[in-house]
Amino acid sequence: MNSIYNKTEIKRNNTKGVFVKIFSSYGIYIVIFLLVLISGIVSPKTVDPKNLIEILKNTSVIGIICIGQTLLILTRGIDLSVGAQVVFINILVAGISLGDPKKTFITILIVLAVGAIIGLFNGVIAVKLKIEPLLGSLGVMTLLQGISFLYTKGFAKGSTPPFIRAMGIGRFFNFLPISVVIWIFLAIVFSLLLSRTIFGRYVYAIGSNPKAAGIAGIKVDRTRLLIYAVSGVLTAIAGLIWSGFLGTPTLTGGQYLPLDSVAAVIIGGTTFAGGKGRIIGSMIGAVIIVYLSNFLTIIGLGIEWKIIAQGLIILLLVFIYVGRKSYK
Amino acid sequence: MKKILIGFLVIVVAVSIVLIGAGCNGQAAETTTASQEKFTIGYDIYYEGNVWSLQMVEEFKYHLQQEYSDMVKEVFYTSSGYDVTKQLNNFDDLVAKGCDIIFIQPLDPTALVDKIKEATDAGIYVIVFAIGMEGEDFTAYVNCDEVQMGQVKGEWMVEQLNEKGQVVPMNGIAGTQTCIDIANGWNSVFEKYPDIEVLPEVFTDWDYAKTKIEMTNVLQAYPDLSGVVSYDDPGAIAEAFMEANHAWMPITWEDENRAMRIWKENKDKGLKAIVQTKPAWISYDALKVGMAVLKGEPYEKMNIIPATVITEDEIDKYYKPDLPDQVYCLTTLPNDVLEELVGKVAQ
Amino acid sequence: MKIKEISERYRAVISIYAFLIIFVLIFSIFFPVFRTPLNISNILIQITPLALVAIGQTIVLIGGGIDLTVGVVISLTTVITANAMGLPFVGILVGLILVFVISGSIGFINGFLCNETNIPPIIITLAMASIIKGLNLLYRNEPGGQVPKILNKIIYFKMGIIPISILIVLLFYGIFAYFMSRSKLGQYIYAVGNDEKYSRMAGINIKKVRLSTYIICALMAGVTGIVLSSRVGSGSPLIGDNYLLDSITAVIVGGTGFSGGSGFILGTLGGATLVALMSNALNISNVSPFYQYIVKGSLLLIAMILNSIRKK
Repeated sequence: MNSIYNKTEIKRNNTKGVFVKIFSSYGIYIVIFLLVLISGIVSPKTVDPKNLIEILKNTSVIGIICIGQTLLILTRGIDLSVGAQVVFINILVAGISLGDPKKTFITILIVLAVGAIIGLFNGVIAVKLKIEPLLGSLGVMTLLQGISFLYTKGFAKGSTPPFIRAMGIGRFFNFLPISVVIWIFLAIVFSLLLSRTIFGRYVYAIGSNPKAAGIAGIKVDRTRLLIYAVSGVLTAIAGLIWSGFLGTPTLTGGQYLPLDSVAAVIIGGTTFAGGKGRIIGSMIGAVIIVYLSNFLTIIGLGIEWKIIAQGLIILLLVFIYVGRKSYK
Repeated sequence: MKKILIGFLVIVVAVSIVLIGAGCNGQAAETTTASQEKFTIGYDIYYEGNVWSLQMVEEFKYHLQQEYSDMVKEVFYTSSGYDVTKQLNNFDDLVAKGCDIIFIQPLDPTALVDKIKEATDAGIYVIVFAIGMEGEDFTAYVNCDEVQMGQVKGEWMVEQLNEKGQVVPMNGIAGTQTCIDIANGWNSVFEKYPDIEVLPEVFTDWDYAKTKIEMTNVLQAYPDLSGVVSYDDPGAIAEAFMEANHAWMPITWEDENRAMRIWKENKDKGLKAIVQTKPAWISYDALKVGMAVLKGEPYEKMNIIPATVITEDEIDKYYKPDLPDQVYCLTTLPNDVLEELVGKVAQ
Repeated sequence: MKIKEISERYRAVISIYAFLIIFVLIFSIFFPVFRTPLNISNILIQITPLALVAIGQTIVLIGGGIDLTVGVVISLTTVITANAMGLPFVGILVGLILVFVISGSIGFINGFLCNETNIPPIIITLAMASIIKGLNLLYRNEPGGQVPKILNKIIYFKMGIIPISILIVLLFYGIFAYFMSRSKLGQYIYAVGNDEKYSRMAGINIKKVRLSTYIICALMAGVTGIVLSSRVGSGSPLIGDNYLLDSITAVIVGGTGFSGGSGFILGTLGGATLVALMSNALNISNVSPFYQYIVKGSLLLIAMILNSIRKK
């Protein structure tokens, strides 16, 4: 940490340096604060508590996926198959239970196991076969789509049983969505896991320098595989909530999940270089993305302007975070 | 050596998958009298991830088997997955396989014009159905008039609202001809009533989750909303209403079984709906025309079918409580065939 | 001795072509329709658009980036071709220039953002794709227009069973294969994709190199749009969407990796041919649509796994 280069930087201490330092730690909070402020002024309906709760509810699926995605990107992985996974899980839930409440428990068990298996499959491809994770997960995505089609032959059978439906659309005390509670609970658990346990330290170590981590005695491959499996289970949970939300199996949907979740994680401060980033940042990033979509619909933008605005804003937000490239 | 072995294995696996698949799709119909002329039939499925599209295929297959099996030498099915280029390629492939007649739902109003003309010039019959297109060189056309359907929906909404109110249009995929036509239809009606405010069109890509989320957003943004005119899944729209605990209002409806159930349960609670839609049996109508062509019988080139209507008092005539949600109620298929396709409802 | 060396270096390319030849042979034997002149010429036409756009994607990937805008650039180009060429004073030549200027500018913006910011290329091109699609829908939100018929007549004119379009494909592949392996810029692209830092230290102008990969890719997407719209006869804001994933599949099946620094243009030709051929083969052999998805789905996965085994 104390190299000659660092010392020189601290000595400089200009305002630009301070600003960047503050922004990189707290930037995401500033962004969301500004977003809420501006949208509240432009259209007060956006900040109506009922709408805000709706936004949180709609963020729970992508939010849980972002937890896994953060862990992956932290350790130089990525998973673009999450959309196809969620769709497949929904089909499984409907197909296994056929709506029967008595089958709920076994359905959830199978679904979580399948999630872990898919996660591990992605992991083996990325870690053992050393295929670029971006590419590998794309291959898994197309494979899952094929499996979904084959399994259903186009007519997806069944429906979501009541307990899982409650996960998706149920509310505590008539206003707090159960899905939000699940999401926040998982976010807190994993945030603590990352920041306060040895496992968390290993994750950051592997991300910043896998070779050094390996030399230091960390079982890099095994940890990365574990992270892939965990991410798969998290995606399966998101899939359960998704299934609860829809209530019925579909072959389409979730196409925006992989790229939006990656964008959310990047906006939240995690970088592709690995080793840097926090769960809370990704959670806020996810909220920003969903909030934006909600806001743009409420102010009545036609679809053409909406996707232009979304593209521009993502570019802007990520740029504010990662900044200009320097060629020293 | 190892490399060659792996390569060989891969090829064996790939070819076996193909052969299994080919084997599984055998469809030569039974032959009866040798004197009857038999035809090769081609059918392109415009999208296989959509139950409505697949139910159309099943209606087609069922009636082909029941009523025309003695005329069929072979039937080939291709699927386009919403991809225009793939559909063009599929059309070429069906022609190459020697189809005498091709049934197609064009994904693009102009892309197939020249290709269809080439085919009909060469003596291949082309029946365009369920989706509109430009040009006239097809052998026959079977469709509902989507502009008229949009107008009918618009007029119903205006009547329900007593010519005054705020309406949100929910539509499918921006840029597709179906959605453009139907929007033109209802917009042409709404224009005539200055007290009807039409909100910006919401596109949901016919995706259930997106429909539900967008409807929720709209309900939040427009507290004065008085009606929903849509070409979308009413089940998703209804769930948005129910979860937001929002009062019901006039909503244009479709014939999906789940939607029919929700309608039945809520029609006395303020939900005003009507189904004015293109039924899945339109493929059967197309089949009838196509077979008439093959038999040399007289047929109509342009078959514009009026939208099928289901009013509130007719719900029970069509709703199928024993069948799962995904089925479309306007169907000519007997219940046991539907059950086999979509499974039974869990008891 | 020398043959062994060459075959070692080009293992990937040789494998894909070997697979292709065996595949074609097997199909031709079992399914006679496959080898009829009509079908063969159909296949050659069907390969064309994917083969063209995959060239650009290969170059970008070799340079260490990725371009998710190819799909929307193709769509946009078809719309321009179908709508602009009929306007007064515009005509075909000016229309073509317009296509190249617009697609080139998009490539420039992609490359510029990659050069000047730390935003990962996947996010840049993703956001740009969204923006371009929105602009396209603003300009024309429905399919339509009329592509001058003469383009169709020229591009798809058949000499026997060979359409001119496939000659165009071969021409481009020849040019770019030569460009990547023999020209200075081509070599620089490999270098930058391989190791940016060392390339910079060796004096290569990274910015120029990266910019050129994105411009080439966008231009090739423009060419694809022209060729595609000539066949279709009209323009559509949605027609290019499926080409994105297919272009990536074609490049990977052709042996190029995602990490940059290696890859063969000629390999991509084999990859694109296989991907495009697959649909036709599955149709001809009557495989049910539901099996078709899994075959195409496993193709990418199998190709990747084979690539990685090969690298060891």
